[in-house]
This record gives sequence, C-alpha cells and structure tokens, in this order.
Amino acid sequence: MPFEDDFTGALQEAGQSFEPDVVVLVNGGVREGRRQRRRRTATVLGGASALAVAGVVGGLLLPGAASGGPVAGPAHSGAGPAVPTATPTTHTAVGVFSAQQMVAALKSQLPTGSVTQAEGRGTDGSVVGGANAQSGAPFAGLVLDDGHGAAQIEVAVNRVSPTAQAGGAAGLACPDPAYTPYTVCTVVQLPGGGRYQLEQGYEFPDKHPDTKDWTGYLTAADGMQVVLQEWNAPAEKGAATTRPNPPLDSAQIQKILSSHIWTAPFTDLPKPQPVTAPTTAQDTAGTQILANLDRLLPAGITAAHQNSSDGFADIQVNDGHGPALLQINVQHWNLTSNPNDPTSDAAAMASLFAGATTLPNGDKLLLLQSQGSVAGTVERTADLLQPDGLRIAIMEFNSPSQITAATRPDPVLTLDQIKAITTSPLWK
Amino acid sequence: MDVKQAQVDDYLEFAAARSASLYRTACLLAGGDTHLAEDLVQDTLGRMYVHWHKVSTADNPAAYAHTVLVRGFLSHRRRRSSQERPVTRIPETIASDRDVTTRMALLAALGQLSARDRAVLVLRYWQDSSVEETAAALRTSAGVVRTQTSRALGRLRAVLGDGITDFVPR
Repeated sequence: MPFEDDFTGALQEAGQSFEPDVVVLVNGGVREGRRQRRRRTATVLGGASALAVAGVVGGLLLPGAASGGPVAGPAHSGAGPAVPTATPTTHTAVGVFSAQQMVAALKSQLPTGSVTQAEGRGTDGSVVGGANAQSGAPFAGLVLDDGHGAAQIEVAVNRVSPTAQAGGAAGLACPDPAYTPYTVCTVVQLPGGGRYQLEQGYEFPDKHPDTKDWTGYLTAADGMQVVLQEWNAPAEKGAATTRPNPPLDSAQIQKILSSHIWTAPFTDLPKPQPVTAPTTAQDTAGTQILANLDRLLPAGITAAHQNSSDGFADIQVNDGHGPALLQINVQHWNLTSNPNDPTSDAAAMASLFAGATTLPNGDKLLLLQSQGSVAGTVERTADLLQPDGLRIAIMEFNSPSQITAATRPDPVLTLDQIKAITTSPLWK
Repeated sequence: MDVKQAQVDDYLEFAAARSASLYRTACLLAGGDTHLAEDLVQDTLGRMYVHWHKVSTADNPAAYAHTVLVRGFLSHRRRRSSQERPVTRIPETIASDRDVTTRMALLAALGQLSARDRAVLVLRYWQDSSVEETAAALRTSAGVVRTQTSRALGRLRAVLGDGITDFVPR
C-alpha cells in the first residue's frame, strides 16, 4: 500500500475514534466567548492579535505580501480577524486586479481548448468559483482540455523577499531530494537577476498515485514571483490521470510566467514594509540544538534516535542501563510584549514561571519531577527562562517514549544534570 | 452589544453541529492530547461566539471555524509545547488491539512533528483541504504548502517506516 493511502486511512480512523462530549464543548465555547468579549473592551487589537499566526512559514514572505499580511502589523490593527465574506475585504492595496481578471489573464496565456472549473482570487479579495476569499495571493485556476486530456492548471502571483534564498523559499531553491526523490528540478538564471525554476515531480512524492505535478517559478530581482502549477489530471488529488504529462512544457511555462500581464496584479500587492524587528524571533534550529546537546551531555552518556525541528529536539539517551527519551525546547519569547494582553508572550511566560526560582543572574528556573503519563514512569523537567526571552526546557523520562512502560527505575540524567544543561552559556 | 437571542440560538445550533468535527480535528492536531483538544475547540467556539454577527453571514462558517482552530493551535502550541505530551490519552473505543496500536503509533508520530507540519498534514489528509485552502488557512502561499506537505510526509515516513501497517508490532 502506498504510504499516503495508509496514512490517509489511518488518520481518518484515528480521527473518527475520538468521541467528543458536545455539551461540554458547546458550553465551554459559550463561556469562553463571554470571557473573551469582556477582555476585548480594552483594545481593538484583542481579537486580532489572538488570532494572528505566529510567524510566516520560514519567514520567507515579506510582511504585507502574499502571505496575507503582517503577523500583527499595522495592516491588521483594528481590523479584527479575517472573516470570509462575499464582498471584497479590506485590503491595503488599491484593488485593481479582480478575480475575474486573474482568470481571464490565465486563459489568455493558454493554448486553445475547453476551459472548465475556473476559480480565482483578485488583489481586492474578490473571488471566482470556490476560491477562499481569505487573504492570500492573487491566483487563478482552471481545468483545461486541449484535446489530449483534461488537466488542472493554476497560476499565482507572489511577492518574495530577495533575501529569501538562504531560507530555501519555494522557487528559489530546489526541493530536498531526501523528500522528493523523483522530482527533476531545473534552474535557469536570467539576465537582470531573475530565476526560472521548474520542478517536474509528482503530487505525491513517492509516486503513489503517480499524478504528475509540474511547477514553474519565475522570480524577478524585485521580488515579483509568478508560479504556474499543472497536473496531468483534472484535479491535484483524487482524480485519475488523463494524459501522460501535464499540458505545458518548460518553454511554454516560462513564456507564460514571463508575460507582462502579471505585472498589474503584482503591482497591486501590498508593498513590503521595512522589516524592523521580527514579531517573533526564530526558534533555534533543530540541528543547532542537537549539536549543543551533544557537547553538554555528561561523559558516559550516549545519544541515539535524534529528531529535531526548529526549536525542538528529542533524543534517546543511554548510560548503559537502558535507553530513555529526552526532549528539549529552545524558544524565543518576546518578554517586552504587553503583559496585560493575556495572549502575549509576556503574559504566557509570567504565568508559566510564576512559581519559579530566580537565579543570581536573573534567569528563572523550574525544576520538577512527577509521575509520567504511563503508570510507573517518571518525568523530570528543567525549564529555564532568561531575561531576554530565551527559554530552554528539558523533559526526560525513564522510558524510550512517552507512551511506553518504564524500562529503567529513573531517567538517565539527574535533575541537577538537566539543570546544568539548561543553564549552559552555549544556548546564548 | 450582546448577541441577540435569535443569533444566540443560531450560534448554539452551529456550535452543536460543528463541535464534533472540530474536536476530532483538534485531537489530531494535538497528537492525541484530548484535554488540549478540548481547550482548542472551546477557544475556537469562543471566538466564533464573539464574532458571530460577522461569522454567521460568511460564506462558510464551518470552514472558517476550522481555520480559527488551526491558527489557534499554532499559536497555542508554541505556548504549551514544553508541557505537551504527544499522546497522553487514547480514546477508549471498542477496537482491536491492533487498531489501537496503529492509532497510537500514528498519533505518537504526529506528536513528533512540528506544529506546522502537523497542521499541514491534518488539513490536507484529514480535512481533504486543497493546497489553496491550506495556504489560506495557514496564511502562506500554495508553493510553501506544497513543499511543506512533502517534507512533513517525509518526516512522518522517517518516523513510521514505509508503511504504517509495517510499523505496527505483530
């Protein structure tokens, strides 16, 4: 069975297995709503900031650009949470390129054929078809049948940071073959600093099912990026393939992406605002966390089964008496945020570290040992918050995972040892 | 400006009809932590209550509620991550040991992914959201969603092995 099929099936089964207590949920929701409303009287930002997503993925799109606006910047102030409506939403852009125009622009660039299922979104928030009106990049999508099989085609106009390349932004770096082994990625550097990148891959990276997904990116030096994505099926997922390959070849894609027709929607995208300070600092890279841990583990302790992501890592430590799980978070919290805003970083940390010990250097430390979630397991925690907002939290167990029985009487490291790791200057 | 009684009734009907679906999504996002899931759903329904006069006229309040849930999860998790247990409570339903084991393995694996990876996978494979809808919910671009989906699947696969069923001890 293909992995995605297994995963989808298992996910559906797992999801359906959870039985909610609807009365508790609805009553709790109403209670929470009344509480939130009382809270909102202080500031118009209350609702909006609570909904703001912490950071744009990878920080690659500029605030105010295609990601749908700054995290909590001026464009959202007082606007409240974005609510999909049938009418154009408030937008900082002028709003001169509608969803209809996006669809018409895409159609004008395609070979002749029958077009169905058109959808799109304009820079003014207008929509065609089933597109989501919530803020996002202007795009158009349709199914084209050029006589050789119906195929879905989409185009979107983005603004990307010229410096995003280091972060591996879509279209500025080829995807990692470790995750997309069958994707052929071609890059053409263009005069004037532009870049054309074509990824010829599959909707599902392991080719099961083997629907092809070809995506071309044309990124100009000024941050204008036009993306065209096409499939050899009338839908990206769940539809049988209708032809060997998607309809447009590399040269055709590049020609469409190069058309001046996309300049108007791009110009109408909100201009990037000067990036002063990030709203939320980037969490420490997982690889860096693992490297630091490697240096900080006491002698005689080995580590295996390392996993990491930004701000988090877990390893199995072993002192020769059995492996045990150790997890670590390295996060940055904005302690200069308004502590009176209950959704702020400062308020969250104040609450979490209320009972903490303050160390001579001003760091706050919580050390505790408790029973784990499985009977017989022990959990030790060292949670440190530095005055600048850096937080290092270690949890360790006397079992190789949090859901299995204890394999040893105690976790591998003592409370003093995990405290020593959290207080290390290496995390600075 | 209290919500008028008709709107309250309207809201309650909506909340009752949607809470089960929201809860299941929240359970998957929370990697099986049903207490966190309950908090997330109540928080989401609370936001829906506050903004009901606007939300109720939206095209698709149900889809909006899921978006609120996912965004709430992403900001919430950051706050709680150091205390979060990937799987603490497995639902007690009548199922074979093997089903339960598969489910636990899956939830544990989800729990090892970053919040964003989990959100992308849950939106795309549980809710069957399109790349475009997922991008809108996460306030990012379709291209980023596409890349992240591949990477998240790759990470999950690294945890689970080639097949989820292969992972299950027999």
